[in-house]
Amino acid sequence: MKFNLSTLAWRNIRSRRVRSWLTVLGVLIGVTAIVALIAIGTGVSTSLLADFRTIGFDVLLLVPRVGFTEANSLQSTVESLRGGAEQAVESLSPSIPSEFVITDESEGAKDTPPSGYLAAGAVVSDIPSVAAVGIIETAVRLTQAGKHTGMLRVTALSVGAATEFSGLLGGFDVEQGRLADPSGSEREAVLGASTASRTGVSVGGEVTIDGMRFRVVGTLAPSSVNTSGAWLGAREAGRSSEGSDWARQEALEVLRALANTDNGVFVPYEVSREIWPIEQMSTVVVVRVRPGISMSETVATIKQTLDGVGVEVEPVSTQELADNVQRALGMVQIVLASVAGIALVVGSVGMMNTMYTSVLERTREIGILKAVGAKDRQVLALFLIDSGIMGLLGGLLGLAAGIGISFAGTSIVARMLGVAPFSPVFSPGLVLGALAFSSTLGALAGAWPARHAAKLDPVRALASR
Amino acid sequence: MTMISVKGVRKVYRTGTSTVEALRGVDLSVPRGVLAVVMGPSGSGKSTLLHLIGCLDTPTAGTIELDGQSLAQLSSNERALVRAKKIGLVFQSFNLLHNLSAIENVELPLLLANSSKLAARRTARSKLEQVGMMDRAEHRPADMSGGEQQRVAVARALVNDPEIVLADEPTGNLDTETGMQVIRLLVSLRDQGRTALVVTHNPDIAAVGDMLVLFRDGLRVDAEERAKEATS
Repeated sequence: MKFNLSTLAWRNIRSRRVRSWLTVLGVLIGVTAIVALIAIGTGVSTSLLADFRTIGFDVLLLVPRVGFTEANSLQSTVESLRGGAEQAVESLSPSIPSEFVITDESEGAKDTPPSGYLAAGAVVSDIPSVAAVGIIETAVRLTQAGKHTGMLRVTALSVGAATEFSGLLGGFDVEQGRLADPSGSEREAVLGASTASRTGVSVGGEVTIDGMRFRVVGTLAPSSVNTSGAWLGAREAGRSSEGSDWARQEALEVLRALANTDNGVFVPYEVSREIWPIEQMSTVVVVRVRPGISMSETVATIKQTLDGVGVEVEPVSTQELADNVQRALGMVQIVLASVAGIALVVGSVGMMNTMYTSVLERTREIGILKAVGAKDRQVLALFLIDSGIMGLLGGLLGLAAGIGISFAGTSIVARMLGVAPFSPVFSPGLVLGALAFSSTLGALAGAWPARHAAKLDPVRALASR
Repeated sequence: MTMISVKGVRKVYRTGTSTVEALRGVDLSVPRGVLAVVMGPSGSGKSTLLHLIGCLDTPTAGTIELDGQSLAQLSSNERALVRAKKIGLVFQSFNLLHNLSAIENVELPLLLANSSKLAARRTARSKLEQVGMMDRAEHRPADMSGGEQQRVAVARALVNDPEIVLADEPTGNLDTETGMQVIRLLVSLRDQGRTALVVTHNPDIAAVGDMLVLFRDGLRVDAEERAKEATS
């Protein structure tokens, strides 16, 4: 019985091919949009969470806490520094590929951290719940390497930073030579994989940073892990919180450096301290909490300890950064899915229109069906199957189109968000949900016209032309 | 034994502010196995009577019984069930579904009555053979002549093995020759013991009928006509 109604419904769909396809197209567009958005959204979210897992959720970034008034007073200094950088960029040799040039995109003003901040690492390392501490500072400096001159991100890692926080560093493996001794006073440099390959400078060569010569003692292997999720999290944290904006910007800068080790230059921490004033560097103290220890309690202990020695810090946990990313992505996804949902509703209204027109056109057929013994519910079922088939068809094609668009769209989205390339995620729930949703929506869109058809008076229906 | 019993049936149609009384108190009794022919001018109410007996519509007043079963108080679905089990309908314009082949049209009432696909196909085939249309079983209505379509429609009307066959102007759209083929089919039904009520203008059908019912202005006038004939 059901088979026969389905056959009849399918024949009806085929008999008005153009209109049926246009109706299916309306559903297809809506389902495509929803599938693509959810698959891309889940993909980016999964990828970023994987970044955070690599870093570890037991990591805290400590940055100095500074008021806005103080920060604004140094705005002019920062702008003059940036102006210098832009001039340098303009004078670059045309032979330098544009990817090589990294400009400082920091939005916030920098400030002088409170005195004693750099000693915070030593103080914090004495706290029992802290497993490891490192200091990382970074800035974009005018660098000459071989025949190339440009603005490069220079990063200095303290003792233990490279070894204890390799996850945060996104893969920090030496390919040639060795790492620079963080506590040494020699002007040594380690080049990121891209920096080395683009400039042609290898171990034993030289790079000049701000006019000072550094001997290249090692080059890094291409980064195997991308920590752009942490960078994105810091950016969202900077947007979403007011009082600690400066602190978030610091974390943002450092994480941006760490997310891009391939294009950087790494120098010994002590040398960096000696050459560049701290206000010209973005600096964070990185803390790893011992396993099984409460993160919030450790944060409180660190704050209390550092307040006790007169150093005000703003702790930013990787969990907080991850939450910020998830929250921001979730909001974007909700908005986009709502737009896609509206498209689907418009498609279903189109289907309702098609079905209603179909009922009007097929009034006589309904009369015939009733004359040969069809019950109201059978006529109702016929039209529901009709619209359900179109909904399901729209769902299937929309799913296929959504999968295609998702794969094409991930690279665009990755570029827009500034994160590493990722794959869209198609969960069984998404696939089955899209199909169930579209066919149900189709049937619902057909419900009113179908009910109208079922209630038709057979004599009047038979009399219609 | 009475197969169709109509007592005091009235049917009033209301369209906007106007009302039309299509039937004004009709009585009719058709015994089992009889071919009853209903004739009368257009608008006399004969098709309305056929629709009421065929459970396609309900009377404004009066009662109708089919094989002793009253149609009063039946729900829409119960009327559909009576149509599916007891009645076979044949229309002037054939009323076949264009998207289905001849055999699919014929098996449709069985499938709507929840028969298995296999059994429905087997019965449909035998009915098509009965009306001489087996060679056109897979053809769509658009590929068949009017006479062929009507024979398929008759096969469809017979597929449920109904006790009553109702035909509304079955030869109205056919030429004389194909009309005669359909008339022979109707006569064969009567010969098989089925009760048939045929609304027609065709005197050839009236000639083969067992019972002639005449309508004018919503009333039966056959008694008056016979009286007139006797007088003249």
